[in-house]
Amino acid sequence: MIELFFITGWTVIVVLAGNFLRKRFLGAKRIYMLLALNCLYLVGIFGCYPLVLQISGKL
Amino acid sequence: MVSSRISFILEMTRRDFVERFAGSILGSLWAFIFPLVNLLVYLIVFGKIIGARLPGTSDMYAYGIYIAVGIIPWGSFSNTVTRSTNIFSDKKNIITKLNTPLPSLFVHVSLSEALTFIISITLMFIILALKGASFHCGYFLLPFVFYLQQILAIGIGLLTASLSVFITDIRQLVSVVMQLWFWFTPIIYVVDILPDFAQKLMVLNPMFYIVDGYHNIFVYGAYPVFKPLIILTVISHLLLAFSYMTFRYLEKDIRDFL
Amino acid sequence: MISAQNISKTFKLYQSPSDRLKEIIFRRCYHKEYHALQNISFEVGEGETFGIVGQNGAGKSTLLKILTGVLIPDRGQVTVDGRITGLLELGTGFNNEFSGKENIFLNGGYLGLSHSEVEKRLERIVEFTELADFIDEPIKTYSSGMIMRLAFSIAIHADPSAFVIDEALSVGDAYFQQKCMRKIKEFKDSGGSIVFVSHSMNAVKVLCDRAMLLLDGACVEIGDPEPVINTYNYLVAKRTKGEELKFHASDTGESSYGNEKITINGVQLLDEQGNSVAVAQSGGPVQVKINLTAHETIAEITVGIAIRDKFGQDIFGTNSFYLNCPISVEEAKSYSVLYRFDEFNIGAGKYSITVAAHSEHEHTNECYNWIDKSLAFEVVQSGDYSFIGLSRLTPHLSIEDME
Repeated sequence: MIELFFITGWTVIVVLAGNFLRKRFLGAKRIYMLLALNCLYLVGIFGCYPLVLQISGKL
Repeated sequence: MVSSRISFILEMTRRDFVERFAGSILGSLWAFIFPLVNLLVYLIVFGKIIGARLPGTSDMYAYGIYIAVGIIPWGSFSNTVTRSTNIFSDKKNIITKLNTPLPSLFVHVSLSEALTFIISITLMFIILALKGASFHCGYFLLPFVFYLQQILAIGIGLLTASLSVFITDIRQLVSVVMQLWFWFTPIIYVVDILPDFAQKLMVLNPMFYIVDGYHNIFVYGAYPVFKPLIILTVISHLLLAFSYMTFRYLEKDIRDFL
Repeated sequence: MISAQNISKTFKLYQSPSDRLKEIIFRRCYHKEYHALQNISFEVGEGETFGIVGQNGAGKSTLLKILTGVLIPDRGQVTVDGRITGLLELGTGFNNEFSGKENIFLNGGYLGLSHSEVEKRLERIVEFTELADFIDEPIKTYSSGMIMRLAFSIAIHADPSAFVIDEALSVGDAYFQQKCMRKIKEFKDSGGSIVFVSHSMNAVKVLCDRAMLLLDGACVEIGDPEPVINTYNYLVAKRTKGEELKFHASDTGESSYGNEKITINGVQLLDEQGNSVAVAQSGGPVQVKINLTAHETIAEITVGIAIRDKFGQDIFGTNSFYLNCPISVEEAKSYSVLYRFDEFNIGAGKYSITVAAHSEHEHTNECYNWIDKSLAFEVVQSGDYSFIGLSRLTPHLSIEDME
């Protein structure tokens, strides 16, 4: 279940951060920030998942 | 402002589904019937009738599943790209009359394609469950692979849409390219059957990694290959940022030309 | 509240759209420029109605599109507090296959209303259209008037802070037009701003608090509707003739123009005996005398008068062409033209007389001289007959026993 925990954790962080950005920035800048955050988020998922698998001994 | 855009996107998406089945007796039930029929066709025709077997497996349905899980996401991807490319001319009547937030149109396209995808993939899960396939942790990654694929699709679609206002040929070009791209991606064949040089070229095809990811998750009960997905994530986001910049730069002209 | 500051919009005209891209890549100029709007600034306050007049191609629709956010101006800024809606074009964004109700939701979505917000308003929207019996029918079965009703009702119920009205409103029948007008007035009284674009000068005079005249994308005049419309009429005359007309305007609202082949020297209101008066009696005999001097010999000219009420509405107008009384003039001679009314049948109130000398039946052909508001006068009610309104009709009343 560590994977589920891991992924929901990530999602919550990014949704919160996105919401925060939405209120702080207006216009194009906001979109670039969201994009950057998104990118980081996906890289994080794909990058850390194997690690998580290794820790939980499934790989 | 933000909430009005969200309701605009939701209304457009709702309209998409209502419009497609407007006037029919079964209504939105058709949204389930179509993908179900498609799935059954893949499973039965490729598994039972043609009797094709996936190399390395003896499972009768494996090949059908292989095709289905490739073709469903590919459909979302290619629909998103082509619909995005044509979106300005399709929605011309409202863009030129009402204050339409143009980027929201792209969100609407991918949202409506995502819904179609979710319906199909849910049916796929039901079939898999009926077959007795076991659950494994790779499935958690599905939303993210799909998400990545849609980012790539919007990145391409936003760029081609912006350019197609000025060069109409882009629309035709996109449909031709999508057709070729489909056959250059191992969706209804296995990558191993390709000659060596083609397999080497496959490295350049972003959709190869995505489709391969789906295959790994559904067919082989494994995980996607992570490293190319990470690179692809960065590239797709950069592409989307670039497309968005191009679009912003041209937005005034786009509105004038429509 | 709408505020527009220094709006400029230039359309670049390309041979083909792809030239725009070539331009970006090769850094060379492939276009001709068309200045649609130049430095337009205005403000529409809360509860104010603002008229925009101008000939076709003056930039009215470009301005509207910029106000509603469909087009982006090259320079300048538009700020609208809240939502701006309107009847930009009949049934924009309606889907013919959908029912009226579906279209309400659809259109509400385009205006930025959520599903539940539309639901809350649905009853009021439908009630206003009086289409409750047809609301579940697809709107391809609707008449254009019915579609207008639906579009209007959605737009006005979307809680806009500003509303744009143009010619589309004229599609409805008289009853519904009045209903719309009442609703618009209600909207205005509650603090909404209204932008009104029309070719009906009377409507602009009656409805607008202020008006703006556009000519080739530039703002020629902005202010009270009446002088603005007088200038507009002058521009129409000028355009058809294509030669330079002289234009004078004064603070009192009197303005004149024309090529001055004939000049009107004065207008007088006379009583029966020929004495100049400023007050006329309703129903009594009145004469209007127009003195003019010809600077050229012209075989046939037309001399006309128009009486306007205090709102600038035309109450009555005629000319020698309509009265089949051709007038010929010789160079350097003065004439006086006399209109005699045996019964001056208009109601009590303040009026003005506009006079003109032109060729044929209208001033748009060749206008020698046109003077707006050349004379102000008042009509009072005579003691023997009381009535209300602008026209003094004289009905006969009788009563009959039914049995």
